[in-house]
Amino acid sequence: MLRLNDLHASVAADDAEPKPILNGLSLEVPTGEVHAIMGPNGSGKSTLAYVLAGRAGYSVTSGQAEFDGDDFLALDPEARAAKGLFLSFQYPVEIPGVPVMTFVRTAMNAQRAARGEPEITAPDFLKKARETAAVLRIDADMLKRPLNVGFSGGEKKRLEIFQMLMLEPRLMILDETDSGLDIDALKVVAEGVNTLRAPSRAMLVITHYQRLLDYIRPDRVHVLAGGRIIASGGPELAHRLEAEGYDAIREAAS
Amino acid sequence: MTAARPAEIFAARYAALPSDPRRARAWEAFSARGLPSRRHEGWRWTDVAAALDRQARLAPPEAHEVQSLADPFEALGGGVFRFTGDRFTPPRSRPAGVLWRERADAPALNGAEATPLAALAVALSSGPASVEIEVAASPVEPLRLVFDDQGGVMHRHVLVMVREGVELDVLETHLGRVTSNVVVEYIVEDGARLSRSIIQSANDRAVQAAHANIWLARAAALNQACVATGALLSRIETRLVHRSGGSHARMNAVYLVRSGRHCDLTSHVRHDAEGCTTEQLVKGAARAGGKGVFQGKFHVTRSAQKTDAKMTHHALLLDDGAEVNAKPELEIYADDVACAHGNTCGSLDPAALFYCRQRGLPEAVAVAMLTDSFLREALSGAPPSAEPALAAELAAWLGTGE
Repeated sequence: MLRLNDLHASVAADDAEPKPILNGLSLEVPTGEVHAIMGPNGSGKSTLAYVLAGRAGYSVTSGQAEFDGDDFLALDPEARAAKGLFLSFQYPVEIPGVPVMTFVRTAMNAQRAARGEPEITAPDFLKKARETAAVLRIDADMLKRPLNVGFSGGEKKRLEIFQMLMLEPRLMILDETDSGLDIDALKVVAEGVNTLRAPSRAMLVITHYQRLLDYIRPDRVHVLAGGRIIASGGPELAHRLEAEGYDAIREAAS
Repeated sequence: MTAARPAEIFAARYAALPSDPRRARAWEAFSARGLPSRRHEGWRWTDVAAALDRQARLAPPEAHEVQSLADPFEALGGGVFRFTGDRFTPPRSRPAGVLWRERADAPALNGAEATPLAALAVALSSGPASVEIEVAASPVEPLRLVFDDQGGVMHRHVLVMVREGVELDVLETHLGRVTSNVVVEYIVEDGARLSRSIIQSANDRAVQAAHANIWLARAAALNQACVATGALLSRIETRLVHRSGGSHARMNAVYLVRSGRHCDLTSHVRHDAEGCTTEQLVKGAARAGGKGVFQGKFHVTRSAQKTDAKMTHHALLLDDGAEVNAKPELEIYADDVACAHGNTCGSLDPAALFYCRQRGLPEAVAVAMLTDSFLREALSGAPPSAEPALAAELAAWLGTGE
């Protein structure tokens, strides 16, 4: 589903030369699989997420990226979203004055319109929202409040997964979804995420810690350092990282 | 043949009106400095003389241009006082508690020297020279003041007296097709409450000024809300005086300017008595080629101890080439007061824009949603009768309306 080949990308900072962050990253996530990306701070994890989602200022300088066999790097972020790409943000933004329900419904219908599908009806939307909120143990009142305004870190992450379940994307990128969650919330969120595991979907789980991967079991684990994948393996690689640290893996790879 | 200069047209009109000492005084106050231009204090960003010259050089308006404006408060009913350049039409049936009187002679204008356009309006207002509305009991429905130049030149003066303890809801519509220059004065007596909602709507060639003088007596209250979308040039000016103790004012506004539009919100609040509050929140958005102006001044005199006043202005520049000029001022002579002002000017947060687009919102939809989110706070305390119409103006400008 997702194929990255020798990807180089830079981030433009204000008034500074673009800084190369990804340095020849290659990765393939087949349909139906869940892959984890682990790496130390500054290794390029969030940059990878932003590059894939199409954030302005994050530019690919060389290499290829395919989603469903199509080069998608020229697409606007909204076109990528309509194609089925979802990024769960590490730091979700607050939007005062726009209730969660309004935001999600607007997003859903915008994606449907882009795909040439009819709008979701109000009763269908409400039913789906109610069911999804129940899975994630989100209070219905929270959905009436302005998006993320005054929410705790954990509530914001839960809301990200709520949106993901509502939008039913095919390629999901979870950027440090575990940060800000206590262990109970982590389990609830992971359960929610797992409901979207399907032979037709793929997931890229970006995390610092192995803990999340106890609940969202990956098929493959990749170690990102210096803007490249330096090691790949099965779930056991995450445990090795936890036990030995990144430096050991880095040395072994060099 | 060259067209007559706007100033000459005004002078000819003045000469044709019956002589009257107060009218003469207003005319002198105006002509001492002439049409406001960038050389005048308080008009640096709002050059009326230049705008009228530009307007005079434009081809005459097409019929559809003149007709294309509608009164956003129309659906609300209420008692309608309608003003055009040469006509005044009172409500068809008299709202209980409301009286009015048409005056043939000009009123005296307080502070005329400092407000040249208002002085001009008083000097040239005729048919009648002034309308005085007295509200002695709280009306059931809002009163509506509708100013429409109907494609001509309008100068108007209206005085509204809100008697002791009365609650009055006023909806002002300022429709600018060519030239309109309006002064509304409100005298709010002890314990009275005035809600004043303003919609300014104009076409691209209009030069438009709406000036208000408001006096708040003991424990009186003002709740003012405004949505303005500018014109070739527009100026909405409010001069408020807290003249006895314990009065409260909220003065909120949203201005929205697209290419070719200028919108100036100017206010002057004088705290002359103890224990009064002013809370002002003005928010604006400008697109490329649009120009917004905010000038706010709080003047707290020595006798105005325990004043609590807060002025906030935040502007959003939506494109390169958008312009907003702001001048917040505090002048404080009392020592036991809480006065604050905040003023910012910036663009949409790129992180928020990206977030919305990642969820599938097209860029234009995301920009409209975030702009709405930014501006809406300034309408949150608006008088309930007017809030839907004010919000609809905002939505129409953002392109998110029905």
